[in-house]
Amino acid sequence: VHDRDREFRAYFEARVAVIRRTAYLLCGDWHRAEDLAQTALAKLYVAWPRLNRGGQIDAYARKIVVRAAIDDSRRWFRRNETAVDTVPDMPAPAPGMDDMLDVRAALAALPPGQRAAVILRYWEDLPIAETAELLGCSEGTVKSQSAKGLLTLRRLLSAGRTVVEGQA
Amino acid sequence: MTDEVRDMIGKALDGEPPIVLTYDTVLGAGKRRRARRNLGIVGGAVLGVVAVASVAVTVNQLTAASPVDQPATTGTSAPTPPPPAGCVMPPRTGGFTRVPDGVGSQEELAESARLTAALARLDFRLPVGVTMDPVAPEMCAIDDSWGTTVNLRKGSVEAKVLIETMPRGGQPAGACSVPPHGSTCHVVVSSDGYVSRIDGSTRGLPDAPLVVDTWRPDDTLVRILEAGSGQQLLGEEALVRIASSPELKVDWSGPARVMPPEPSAGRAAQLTAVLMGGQVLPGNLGRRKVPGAVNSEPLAFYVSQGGYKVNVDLVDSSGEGNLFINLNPPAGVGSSVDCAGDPHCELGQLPNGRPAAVSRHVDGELIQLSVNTSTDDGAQVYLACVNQSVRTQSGSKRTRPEPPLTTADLMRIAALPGLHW
Repeated sequence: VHDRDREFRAYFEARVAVIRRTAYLLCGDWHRAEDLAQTALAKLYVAWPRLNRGGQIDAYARKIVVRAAIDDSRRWFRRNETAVDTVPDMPAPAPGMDDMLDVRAALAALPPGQRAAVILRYWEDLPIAETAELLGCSEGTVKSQSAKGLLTLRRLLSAGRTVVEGQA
Repeated sequence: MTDEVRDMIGKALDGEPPIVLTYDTVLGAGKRRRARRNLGIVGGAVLGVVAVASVAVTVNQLTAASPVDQPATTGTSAPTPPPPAGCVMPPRTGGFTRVPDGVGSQEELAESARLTAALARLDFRLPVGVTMDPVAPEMCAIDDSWGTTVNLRKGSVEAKVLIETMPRGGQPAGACSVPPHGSTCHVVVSSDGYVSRIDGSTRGLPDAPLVVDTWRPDDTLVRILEAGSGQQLLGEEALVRIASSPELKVDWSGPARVMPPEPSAGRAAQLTAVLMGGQVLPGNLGRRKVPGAVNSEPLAFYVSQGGYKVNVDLVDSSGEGNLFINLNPPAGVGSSVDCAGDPHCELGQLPNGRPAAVSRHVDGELIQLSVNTSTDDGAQVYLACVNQSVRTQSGSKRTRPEPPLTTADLMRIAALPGLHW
């Protein structure tokens, strides 16, 4: 038990920030990201003895975070957002826009599935097959979701325009 | 493309707040979860069995995220330990000025080893009762900078300190930009030419990190960030002293990042004067500040997101529209002006001969004209004019038939001689 805790602590110290960042990119809220990281790490602690070598620890933690974040964001999305077919072409200035980060707003504009596909493929650098397994969908869906998400991100960001969170 | 996209996504992590989550919290949650699971599966009688289950994880696996060691030397019989081999920051480690890619050249590793050895000679002068982990931090290669992270603890108070040093690249010392929401920022200049900016965050977050940037006369720029869940354990004076220490001087002759001056309120005022002096707006167009504007004049540049912006509503007898200008810092090698596959865009030429990507997008009643170009110094310029004002913005409704400025007007603005970084 002592070794387990010591090793788990080493993992915690090394990876808590990375796990929280992935969670944040998926959910867009640092507080929720911290909750997700805590849940993932607590589950990881339980599964610690049976995890094998070869990167499965990270994969397991990622799976917990991704699935929880998607479930969470879908609930949040339904509650707080209005889905639109297209993002506005306009610069969307509004009060306090200096505090808004373009990328955060653009990520928030993506539907949860697209956001997760983009983050897993381009931030976590996961192969298509692994992304599909994590998201519980086909590889074709991953390709289309990540392509659509990336296209939207580029449209929102490439021209350096400002997007206001919650408006896109 | 992946690196470019990753860099783009990584910008969303700017202003990352310190981690509140502690190991003890997670451990407690994990143990409770494990107890519940065990009770659910086999009943409470087997709890002790689970507690002694073997651990199937190696230490190597656990340290996968620690600084990436270089190939180990094979001289097991060497009488003296080999010199430090240098290290690379794990990919995507946050908190530094660039997102680490986990790759380092031999030259970068050599500088990593040299800086690590130098840092070992630095006396951090920790306050009484404060402990530091690790005791001998390694300065690992990030991209074109080197950095490390240390954890400080005093009783129940924990703090994390990030140290990063890089070639200054001739960058002028930065100033405090005009804060939109009450930033605590000031600049300290030492008698020997060290300029330190101490910024207590512009985001109004609780437990906001303290960031010290020191532009040094030895062509080194050092950034130190202290973040914690409670009081600061080092504080301003100690951070400035560490950032000014000779041990953090970078000795680097390899390629380094482009280091343009940081955006400043002073330069924003100069750019505003360029705009005003250029008489770029037709005389019949009135200017109105947009709601929430931080600039005092409607047609004025202000510092935003690492660049300069103008955001003004324009009014005449036809109605209200909006002009948006964004000036971003020189992008360095590889930046170009193109239409990026936009079917509504075509390449044109500004009055000064520079290329520009010009587009007209129509979305229902809304019409947006835009011009993308770069200046002689490589700064990126984006202008957009729409037939909808911010003040009267109402969904997708236009507030005038056409944008208040023409494409030619936008191109004329983009070509203003003084409009550069």
